[in-house]
Order: sequence, then structure tokens, then C-alpha cells
Amino acid sequence: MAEINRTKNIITIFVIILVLALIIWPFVYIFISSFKPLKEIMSRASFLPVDPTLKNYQTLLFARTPVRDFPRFLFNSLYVSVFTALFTLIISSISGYGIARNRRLRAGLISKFLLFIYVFPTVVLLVPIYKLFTTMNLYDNLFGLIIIYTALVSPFCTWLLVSFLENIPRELEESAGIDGAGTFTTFTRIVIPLASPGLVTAGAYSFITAWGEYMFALILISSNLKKTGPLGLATFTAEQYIEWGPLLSGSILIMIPVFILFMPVSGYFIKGFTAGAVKE
Amino acid sequence: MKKGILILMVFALVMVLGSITFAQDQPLEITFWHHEAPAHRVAAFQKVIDLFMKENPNINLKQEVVMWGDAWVKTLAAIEANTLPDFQFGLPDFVTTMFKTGSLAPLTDLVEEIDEKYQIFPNQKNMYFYDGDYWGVPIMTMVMLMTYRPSFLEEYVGTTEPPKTWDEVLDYAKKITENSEEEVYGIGIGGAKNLMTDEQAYIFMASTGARFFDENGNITFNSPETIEALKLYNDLIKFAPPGAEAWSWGEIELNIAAGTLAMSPYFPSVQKRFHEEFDSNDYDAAHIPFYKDRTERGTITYPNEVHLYKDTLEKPGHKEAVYDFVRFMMRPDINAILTSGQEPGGFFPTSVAASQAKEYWDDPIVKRFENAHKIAMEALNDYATLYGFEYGKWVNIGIGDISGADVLADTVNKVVSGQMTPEEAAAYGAELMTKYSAPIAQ
Repeated sequence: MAEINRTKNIITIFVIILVLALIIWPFVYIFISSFKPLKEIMSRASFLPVDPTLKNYQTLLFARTPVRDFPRFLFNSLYVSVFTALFTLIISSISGYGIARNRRLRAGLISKFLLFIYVFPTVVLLVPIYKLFTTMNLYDNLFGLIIIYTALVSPFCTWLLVSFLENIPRELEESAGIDGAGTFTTFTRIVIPLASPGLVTAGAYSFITAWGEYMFALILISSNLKKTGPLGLATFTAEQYIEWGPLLSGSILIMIPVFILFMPVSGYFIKGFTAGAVKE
Repeated sequence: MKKGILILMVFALVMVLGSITFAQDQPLEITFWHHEAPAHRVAAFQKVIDLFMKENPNINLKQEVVMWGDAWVKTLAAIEANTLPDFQFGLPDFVTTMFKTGSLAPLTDLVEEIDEKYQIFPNQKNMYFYDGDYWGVPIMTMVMLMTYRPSFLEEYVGTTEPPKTWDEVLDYAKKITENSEEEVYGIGIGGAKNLMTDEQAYIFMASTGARFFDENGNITFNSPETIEALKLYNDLIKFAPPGAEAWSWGEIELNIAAGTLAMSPYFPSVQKRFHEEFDSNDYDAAHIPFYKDRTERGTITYPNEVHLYKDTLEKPGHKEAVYDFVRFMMRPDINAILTSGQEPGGFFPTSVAASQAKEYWDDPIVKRFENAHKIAMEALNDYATLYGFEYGKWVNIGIGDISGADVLADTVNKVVSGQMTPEEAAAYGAELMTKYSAPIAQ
């Protein structure tokens, strides 16, 4: 029996390693190639760089053109993502709390509608939103992106937070009430700290969604220097002339914030997604 | 009291006059979109812009880059919302799509003026001719040739002469692939449903004499010539590297440079990489070969044009500023900045005058690969054309949608992936085209 279990474990570990290798391989290849000079990238002479260089990163970060400024693109992405996460957390925590504490809302249409919005194909909203934003002077405006991203991720984050907020005992709020705390104080001092794993999950989710979004940014942003990271990265892939070096180094740089943000909170993230799965 | 009112009136008058003067001093803001994002291409545009603004300090020109893949959706959205630039660079099928929206202004007077002065190649300007008007001014153009690595031909075929017929191409490709034991593949062509396959496959169609439409705009895709072209494509792709059926932009450049490809019907722009990265002469381009006993060659060309929007006409001074800039770009010495100065082999002149300009031929990369440039000029002047635009006028306005849906590439993909025979695929492609077809009443 023990022998069978051991064999099973070995097979499981082998499959996990194989899948991990398949997933990680492109990232490793991109990372290593980003240190190769263009000649080596194009000639594909060896896997490891023969003449390693930082030129691709230098070009990416310091070579500016009137239509390309990659550090600025990353800053734009950061600005949009941070404020999207912030606004999403404010909206989702309030609405999530309301739903979690109201049985009728929780069981009713609103709760289901939140999930429906999450699975709704947002591409069909592209043209109406474009027209709306142009009339509202939000076209070619990074704040416009923040609004649309917040609107896109808030329903899902609300749904996500409901499952966290439901698990906070009402008795704690009642105790706070007896001690003289008002609804707002109870919400900010008791509920929010206790829901922090959920807030971290929702914040990370909204940040990552805004960080990598392409289609709305493409349609709503026109000025060269207001482009976000993904739009900026796409400019290296022109037809008939791909700028391989900066493209590879840009791909690495654009992944870094996601790694930095995601790795420390990955535990919360998984917990957040499974929190509502098992009812007590 | 009266003194106070007088001071106020004087103040108001000064402000009004000041604002008028200020407004008069403000340069005219002109924005245009183009689709050439690489740094050296943007730099070439900026060089032309700076030179123009030096001569015209009252005009402030601004370039914005919209990637080709995004240009259709972004422009259509901008038309809907009235956020168009003053003018934009485009291609023939792009212009037909925009024409259908009713947002374009004719440029006949400008095209005729420039043509008289510099002689625009007829096949380049005619791709923008419809209903007695020109709807675009071809500024620079692109052309595919038979690009190859001479050393591979010498080593594996025993000749430095490029193939002159498609049968020879097939023979060379087979010999190179077999004699090199698949270290070098004979031909670089793709088979995926994308623009690159559209363009490469059209060379085969043009070589066999196949057309999308007849002169009246009726679909003639399902023809013996198309079937011949598909058969030839399918025979040749067997000597392309594994996975070529899924290739997109960039793959051919990489494989040619890496030494795993000997020949490819492609844009001869890889010469820039050979010059700058490899310092090598082992790259050249030849005319597209003849198909069997046909006496006409065929290849693809893409005249990059400027088109103007009706909205621009409503802004005082904007049309004149755009006209001045177009005239400036077509000046042979300036045009060379956008062709050989931008990317030698990638962009070529559209006029006789610009094709003879000293500034063009003085470029070090052009000098190094001079033969390829001479061949390109001959092809542009002689036989290069574009699918749906072979008749010197627009015949089917659905070409933009047919091109956008990659119908030709889809058809090729069905053959090279073994899903259909060339006969079935030609019928399939013709049926797809019917959905988008909009023949122009003659």
C-alpha cells in the first residue's frame, strides 16, 4: 500500500514539475533572451547569451521618441491601476457589506446580477462607452480609464467581498454598538480590518486587471504619451519590423509589478476565491 | 464712477485685442495618425515634421502612432465620435473601408498637381481612384520580391543565380532542404490566417494570373488560375520550416537572419538587419519568377497614402496646411527621408522623380544592396499590384472587408492544413468573398 502511495506521489510530483516547466519555460526564455544583443536574438545561436548586455533595457528605459516613453507608460499604468484598486475597494466594500448584511439582497437579483456582469462580454460595450466618454470629455483621459476599469471590476469584487464579510460575526458589530460606536465607526474600525484578507484579494484582482487591460485603453486613449504599459509594449511589434530586444525586456518589466504585488498576497488570493465555496 | 467705467472698458478692449493677437500668433495644430511604431520609423517622420515646421513656423504638426492591427477599429470609432485626426496614413483597402463611411474628402487636385510635377507611378495612384476622384495621395510604397541568401544557393544548388520560374523555385527549395539535411529550408512562406499569408499568397495568384474580381467587380476567385496558385503554394510549403503553417510577422525575418531559410517572397527590408547587425552582404532580392509559360510576372505592392477627412475641411486653414505638408513629403529630397531614410527595403518612392533622387541612392544600406533596390523600382514600375486593385480603379468596394477577414489566407490555410483540396478551397474562398462583395456599378 505504502509502495503504491509512493509511486502515486512520484507521478503527481513529476506531473506538477512537467506542467510548471511548461508554464514557466516561456518566461525563462524571455528573461534570458532579454539580455542578448539583437544579433544573438535573431541568429538564435545559443540558449544562454554569449555576449550578455543590458542594452535592451537601456533602450527601453532611456531611448525616448516623440511617440514612445516606456517609463511614462508604466507610470500611467501604475496611476490607473492604483486608483482603480482604490475606488474599487471603496465601492465594493460598502456594497459588499450592504449585501452581506441584508438577506433579501443576498438571495435576490442584485447578487446574481453581480456575477452576470462579471461574465458579460464587455467588448460589446466598447462603442457606447467610447461615444459616452467623448461627450463627457473623458476621451483620451486616464481618469476615464480609471472609471471604466472600476465599473468593470467592482461587481466581481463586491461578490468576492460578500463571502468574506458574511463570515464576520454580527456579535462583534453589536458589541461595538453597545460601546457607543456608530455604523460608520463600526464599519471602518471593526468590519474593514477583519475583512482585510478579502480586501487584499479584491485590491490585487482589480490592480492586476487594470494593469494588463488593452482593449478599452486602446480605444479610449489617443495621445502617444498617455498610453498605458500594454499599449506601449504593443508598439514594439510592428508588422514587418519587430523590435525584439526592447520587446523582450519590456515584457519582463511589465510583469515585475504583478509579481511583486501578487506573490506576497497569493495566499490571500486563493483564500479569497475559495472563501465562499464552503458554507458553515 | 465714469473713470472706473472707462478703465474697465479700456481693460476689456486690451483683453479682446490681446486675445485676438494671441490667437493669431498661435500656430495651427495639425494632428495625423500613422502606423509605423518602430523607433527609427518615428524618427524619420519626426525629421520630416521638424524640417516642415522650420519652413512653416505657423503650423504645429503632431504625429500619433496607431498600430496597423488597431487602425480599423480605432478609426471607425473616431468617425463615430468625431475625434478623427486631420489626416491619416492608410492603404488601399483601408481607404475603401473609410470611404464607405462617407468621411473622406477627395484629393484629386492635389494628386494631379503632384503627378504633374513628380510623375507618380500609375499603379500607385490608381489604387486610390474612384468615381472620377483620387481619395488618397501615395507617399511611399512597399513591394515584395524574391528575397534570398546567395551563399545558400551557391552551397546547396551550385549557382548564385536566383530562380527565374516557379518550377525552378520548387527545384531549388527541394535541393536546399534535402542537401542541407534540413539545416536550411528552401522557402519561407506562411500558412496561417493572417495578413502575412494574404500578402505572400497573392504573389502566387498574381503569378498565375488569378484575380479576386473581374473588371466589373464580380468575384472570379474560384478559377483554374487560383487553383493553380493554391497547388503551387501547397507544393512549396513542404520545403518551409516545420510550423510555417502558423507563422506570422517576424518569423521570416528571424529565420532568414538565423540562416534557416534560403529564399522567401517577402519585403526586402531585412537588409537593414544584415547591414546593422551582421555587417553581411549575404542577402539579395530578385524579381518574382514567372509561372510556367506566362510572360507576366506578379507581386504585391502597398502604396502608403495620406487621406483627408471631411471634418478637416471645416477647420479654417487645416486643409491648406495638410496640402502643404503632403507637397513637402513628396519633394524628392524629403521623400527620401521617408523611404530609404526610414527603412531601406521597407519603403520605396511612389514617383519617378523620387525614385531617381540622389538622396535616396546615397543611403549606405541602399548602396550596399543596390541590386535589390533596382529590382524593386522595376517591379513597382512594371508589374506590382494589389488584390482587388488590378484594374486602375476601384471595382469592388467590399475589398476592405475581404482583406480584413483574411479570406485569401483562410483559403490557403484550408489547403496547407490538409482540410481541403485546392479546388474545394477555391470554391470556399469565393463563397466567403460573396458575403462581403460589393461590386461597383459600372
